[in-house]
Amino acid sequence: MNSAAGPYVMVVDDDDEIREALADVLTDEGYEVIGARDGMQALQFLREGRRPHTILLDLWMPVMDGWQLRHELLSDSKLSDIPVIVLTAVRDQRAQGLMVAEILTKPVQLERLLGALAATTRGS
Amino acid sequence: MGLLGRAEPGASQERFGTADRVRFLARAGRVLDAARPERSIVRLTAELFVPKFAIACRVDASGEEASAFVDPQGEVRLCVRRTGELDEGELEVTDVVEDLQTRLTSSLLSAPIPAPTPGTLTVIVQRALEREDVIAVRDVARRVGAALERRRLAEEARTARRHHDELILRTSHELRTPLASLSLHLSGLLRAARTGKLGNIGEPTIEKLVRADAQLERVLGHIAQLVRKPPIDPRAIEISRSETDLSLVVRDVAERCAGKAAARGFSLRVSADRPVAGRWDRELVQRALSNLCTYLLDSAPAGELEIGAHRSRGGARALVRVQGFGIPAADQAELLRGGPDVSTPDRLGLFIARRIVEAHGGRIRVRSSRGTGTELVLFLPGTDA
Repeated sequence: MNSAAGPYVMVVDDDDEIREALADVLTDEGYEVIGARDGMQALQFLREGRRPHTILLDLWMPVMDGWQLRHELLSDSKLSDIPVIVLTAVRDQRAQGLMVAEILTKPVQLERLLGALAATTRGS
Repeated sequence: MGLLGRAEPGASQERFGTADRVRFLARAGRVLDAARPERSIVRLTAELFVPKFAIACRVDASGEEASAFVDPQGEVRLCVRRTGELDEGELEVTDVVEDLQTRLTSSLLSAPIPAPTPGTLTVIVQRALEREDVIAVRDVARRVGAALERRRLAEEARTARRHHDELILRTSHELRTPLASLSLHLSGLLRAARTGKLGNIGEPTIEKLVRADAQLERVLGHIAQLVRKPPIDPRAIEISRSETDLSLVVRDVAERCAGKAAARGFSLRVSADRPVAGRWDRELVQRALSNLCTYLLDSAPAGELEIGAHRSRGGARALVRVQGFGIPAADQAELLRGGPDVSTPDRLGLFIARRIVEAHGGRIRVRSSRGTGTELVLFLPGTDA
């Protein structure tokens, strides 16, 4: 992943193509991006590394899915206040209960994603 | 080796006349034409012949064979097994049939069950065979062939429908993922071109990027429509029965729901310690129960979700229960008696659950009040003793 001096964003998605495409476009927009292939790896990065300004979270992943990761984040006082934007392939009303900043349906429209990211990283 | 009953004392097929044959053929037609999918055709046929028409009958077709006969004590016995499988009953059936052939004045008649599910129908009658007997046995053999063929075609149609649904889901997913990535790249490129990050790009090039982006959006829209179609058409659910332990299904569903329940702040209580066996479609029952659990996990406030399986009069019950959440009466009627409502995944899930249970000949019952909570009970008729 490329590094820049902008807001730091974590992309959690099991699909390499989607993760890299998001990293490319966000890097071009001045964000610094780190990718995680599942909830477990994301949790490891979060507990060992830098705290991101926002997490972009896919829901359906192997090993640890987005639901479980969200539960882990909310259970950890050091991580619970990181804004989360859900990116989901299936429109699922159950995601409303995840207490996240935004829920976007894949394929996500870039303008909407950038708008949501700008709102969560404002001031950073 | 099962015991079917007892032949009437003194009953003799010597008096089996034309009227008896007509009644027999009419009944055979009704039974074979209306055989429910879970009933074995070869078994039904053997039961048809013994003891009214014949003292012994053996049907071998479609990989299964059934033998019914009246034993020397007058008891009607039945043995059903896969073709080629030997068990203790094999010797017993052969012995008894040989005994009947030597002990009684009897006749043996064998008729082919026609292709494409070829087999043989053999009967032993305790009288001299008449021409009408031969016609009757051949007629039943033809009906058995037709019934087996109908069943084979129905199974093929069911399999084809499942493959079709799986193909659509898989293809949609496989197409959407790379297209979603392409869409992001294209949108990023377009945005960079418009903001001048790509240097001096002429308006015609930007216009081409806009058109490409719009076309891609269109393709993605079509794919999204494919995915929105429910993989199982709730109006045309077909069930495929097999030996199923409802307690095992309940425990599987509880395991699958555990992650979601924890995320929603629920604790799970499972009461499914004893086997509750029956012939149901395991996969579909699991889906119905999962849908009910999902509905309550999504709708009720955090608390305890109880899920269980129990024997019930005439069948079995699986239940999902939460405390302190009541479904409004109007919604209850709509949820469990309405048509397919695909406006939300949960509504559709409840409708599919209801149709799955109805396809098994069962029903879903709702008990719900705000004070006491909600209990969704799925009743499935028929259990193994």
